[in-house]
Amino acid sequence: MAEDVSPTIDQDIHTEPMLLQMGPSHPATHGTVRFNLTMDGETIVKCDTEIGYLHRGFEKESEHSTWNQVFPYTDRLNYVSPLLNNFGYALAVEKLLELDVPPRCKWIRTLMGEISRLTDHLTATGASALELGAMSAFLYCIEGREILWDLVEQVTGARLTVSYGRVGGLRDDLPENFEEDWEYVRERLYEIHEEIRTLLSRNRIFLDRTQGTGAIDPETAIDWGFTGPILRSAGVDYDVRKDHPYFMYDEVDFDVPVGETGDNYDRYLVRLEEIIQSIRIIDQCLEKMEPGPVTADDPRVVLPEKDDVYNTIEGMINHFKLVFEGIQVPAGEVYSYTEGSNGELGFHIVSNGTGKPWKVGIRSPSMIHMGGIHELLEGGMLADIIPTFDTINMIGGECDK
Amino acid sequence: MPKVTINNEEIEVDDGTTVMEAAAQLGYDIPHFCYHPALSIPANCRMCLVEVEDNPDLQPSCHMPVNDGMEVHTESERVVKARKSVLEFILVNHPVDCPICDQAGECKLQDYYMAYDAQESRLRTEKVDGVKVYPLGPEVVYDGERCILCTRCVRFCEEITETDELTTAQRGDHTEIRTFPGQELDNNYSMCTVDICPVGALTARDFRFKCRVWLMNTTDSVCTGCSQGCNIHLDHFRNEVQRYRPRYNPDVNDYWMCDPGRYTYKEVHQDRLEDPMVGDNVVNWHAATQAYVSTMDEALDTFEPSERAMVLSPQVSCEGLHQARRFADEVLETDRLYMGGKPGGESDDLLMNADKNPNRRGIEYVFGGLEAVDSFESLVDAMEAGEIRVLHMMNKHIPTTDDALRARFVDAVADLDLFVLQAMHRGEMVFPPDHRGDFPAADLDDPTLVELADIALPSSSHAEQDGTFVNEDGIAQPFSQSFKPLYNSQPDWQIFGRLGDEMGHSLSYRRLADLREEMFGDAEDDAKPKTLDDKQSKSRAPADAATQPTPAE
Amino acid sequence: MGEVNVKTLKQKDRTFWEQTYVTEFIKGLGVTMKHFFTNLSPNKEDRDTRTVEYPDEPRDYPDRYRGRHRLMVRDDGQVRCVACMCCSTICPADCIHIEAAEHDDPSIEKYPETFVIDQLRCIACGMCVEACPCDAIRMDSGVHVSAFEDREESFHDRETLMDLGGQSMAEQGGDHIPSPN
Repeated sequence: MAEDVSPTIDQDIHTEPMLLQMGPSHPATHGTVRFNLTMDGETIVKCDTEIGYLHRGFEKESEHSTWNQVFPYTDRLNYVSPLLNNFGYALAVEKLLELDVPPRCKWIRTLMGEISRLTDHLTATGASALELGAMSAFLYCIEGREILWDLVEQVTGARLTVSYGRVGGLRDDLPENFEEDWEYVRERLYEIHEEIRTLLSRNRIFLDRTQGTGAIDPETAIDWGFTGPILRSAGVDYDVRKDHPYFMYDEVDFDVPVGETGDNYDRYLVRLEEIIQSIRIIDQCLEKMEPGPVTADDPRVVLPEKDDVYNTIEGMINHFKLVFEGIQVPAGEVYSYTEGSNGELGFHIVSNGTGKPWKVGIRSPSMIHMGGIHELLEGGMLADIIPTFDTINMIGGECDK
Repeated sequence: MPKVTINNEEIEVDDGTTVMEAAAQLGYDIPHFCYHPALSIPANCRMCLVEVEDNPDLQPSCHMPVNDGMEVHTESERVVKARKSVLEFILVNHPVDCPICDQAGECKLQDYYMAYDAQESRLRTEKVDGVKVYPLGPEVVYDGERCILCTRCVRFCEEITETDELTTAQRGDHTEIRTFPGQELDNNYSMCTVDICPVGALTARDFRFKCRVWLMNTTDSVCTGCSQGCNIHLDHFRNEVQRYRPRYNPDVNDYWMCDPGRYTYKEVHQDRLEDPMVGDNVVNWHAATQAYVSTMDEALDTFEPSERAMVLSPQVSCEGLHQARRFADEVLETDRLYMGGKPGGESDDLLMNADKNPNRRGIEYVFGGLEAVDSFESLVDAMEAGEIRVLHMMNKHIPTTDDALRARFVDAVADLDLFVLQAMHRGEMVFPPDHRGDFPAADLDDPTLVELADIALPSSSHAEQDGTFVNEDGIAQPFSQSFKPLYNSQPDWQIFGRLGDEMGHSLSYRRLADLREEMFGDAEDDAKPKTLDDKQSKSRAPADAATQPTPAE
Repeated sequence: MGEVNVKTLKQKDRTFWEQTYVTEFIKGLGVTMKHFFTNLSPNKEDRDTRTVEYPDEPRDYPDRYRGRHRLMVRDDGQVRCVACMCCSTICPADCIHIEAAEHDDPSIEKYPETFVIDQLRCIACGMCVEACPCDAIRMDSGVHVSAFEDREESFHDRETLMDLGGQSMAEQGGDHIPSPN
């Protein structure tokens, strides 16, 4: 009978783990990263992550640029939240210069930074939904992102490659109709948030795929250096805006959402809540902001007003020296960190006293996360890689620099 | 020996030292416009004012001699305020010309404004107009609005060249620099005024608008215009030499260099021989070397050592000549050596020498005396007599302006059995070049030496290699590489090494340092200039200038 | 001072209906169908799609949009640019190539004989506009860099850049009587 035969056959079947390469070019890994997976059936036994496919030599290029010429490079780090990168770098250089920027500049940096955080969270949530099959949710998130890009374009002149920050301030003040346009965007974002919540938050398919997968406990998360939504989903309430406030984060009220289990669903919930909190911060910024200058009052750092440049020799000399020589930053070293949308974004800058940085090192949260992503993937199934990778939100530009 | 305290640091200096010189010895740079270490001191710009204890007025540190027990402050509040005021007054009538002014990047006004001033303008009226783009001479253009009347150029023409062309004309804030009536600023050192002008009032016609100063890289090098070997800063951008500027050397050229020497930078890029050639065909180095080996092997078998000759060029570095000597000894096995190089020219009693080759004394040093090398004329005679069948020529220069001798040489070359040419240039360069360093077009009916050569090998200029030149006074001066060899050229020392190795002798060196060690014997530091004989060098600067740090130009 | 609270998000247990997926299915369809029927309206204003019928319906760029470069001109139509090289120095992408030459008029003195922007290298950062000390180059033309068939078309030379017109607001040498601050 069959029962007599099968035990013998089972003992004779030889199995070995399969090597599966989830290669750099994969529609579900948005960003180029390679996973060399050792699989036992559907279970991942070992995951070997390889990054660097988008390495463009940011840090080396910065050594050949003046301090202000580095800003276009910072745009292209986490390219869905370029303003956060701009301001993080500007803060680092200002620490070396021991320069304080005027309050309106800090308000605008806080505000625009939160807009960038919104765009990143909307992209992350939308992309996660898309890869689990919820294409409508993706489109709604992207609509939200589009109207935010429109707002960013009005202020900075470009949607993504903004180059808005400058050492010592900003490129321009906010345009006049910003508050008016923000009203519309705000209402629409609340609607989109509600729609996403309806479509996904209690959706069984979504719950089955994201609950319990890619879980991490707080100790492991801290050991591997995770920060941002991932760490907060594990239950650790570390947020640079709360614990080491910078710009105007100590003047606004907001909540820091934390999860409990550290799985993908928690990360989704944390991001969704952070969207609401970011909108709250932006509203408070617009309310509390006073008119004033947006650049520091230091002629050795900030370009002079165009009127002075065209008409006076002093302004012209000032302008010329800053353009071709760059800002003379005193020699020194600084590590300055801010809350990027994926976690703690750090800039380690070394100056040798000239107009060009000696070394710019970036602590990019995505790269640290990719260093530890195998902890989340090993032991899980192949299909769980998709929601896990999405909620980790590795941005290739930030990971590989 | 008076003792002076500057910024609470004491120093003992020689009698007659000024406060500025004493501060420079301590490492304090005091800003100045009109002061120049090689010129007289007018103290008219007032930028170097410092505070002297027990003196109610601020004193110009460029002029004030040090008294024993003097206490000086160069960064006190009064001094800082004085500097701002001086700059404000200078900038009051200064035109908003930075975009069109060549000096941007090396302009004292720009540097001092950012370092000491950084105030906004308080001017509420019009600025005074002046003359623009005014030619003072064939090389120098003057801008009256930018001039700050430091009079460095006037003093240069009075004291250094002693030609007295320039003076200040008009009065008050309409004062400008002019030449005396009927005169032009046309001495042989007119472009030095452009170097010493602290602002963009004097610009060199050759360099005007060519390249922005901050884009250029600078290398320390030596001019190849004549045997004086003036030290230069070679400014280059994207592998192209943009200009020469004199580099301070109290033993050779002080702060100056001559105009014709400045123009020799054009030779680095003009009409270069780009690739090795075998006959009329352009080939690569491997093919050229193989062709050389096969033809030379045959020639060495067929012809006696006395039938082989080599023309040495005093344009080539010592390292190249060292290899040439080894090549002549070991490969060609000949002692028939002849002197090539550029023909002689104009000389004066300042810097210009009649010998327009930088390294004749290098030949003397490497070959143990100039007796070892015969004249070019004797080469032509020997060639016409049929005594020479194989000739290896370094560089295309023929050291004569006599057209007949030149024609005889070209004819004789056509009759040779093997003619190998190792040169920088392709075309016939008829000497002398014009005042701007451009060579007149050659007579294209005559075949050039490159066309006559059985094998032509492209060599690199002094800008493309490290090397050493020995100047007329016996001072060995190193020069540095500015950029990689252009086109397919190679430095001479490497060419000889390659040919020698292929011919079966071990002639090449892996590193230039090894070659230098062999050449200069036990010299500890090849970078330091080393006098090769006991001859006293003709120094034109104050005796102690070389030993102590001096105020900057 | 701001007040920051930590908010713990609890994962709720699934209800019976959520587990059957029926109610969620209907709610989800409700959201998408609402949009679907709104967008069926024949009146375009009532729809909530964000489709723009480009290029028939042109998109208006905001004032600060960084589009095609344009070289400004003086009163007499000559190019305002004096080839000071500030823009090519500061360009992070090294896409501006300028060759300066002597101008016949001594009050102008310097002008760009060659001025080429390689639009394929340009990253539209706007630093050239910021660096220009003469209001000679702007990116406010409101036109984006157009597609090309031949790579040479994207090397915009001086004439192409002056085509979009515009008078410079800065006089060479500055206003002779500056306004008080």
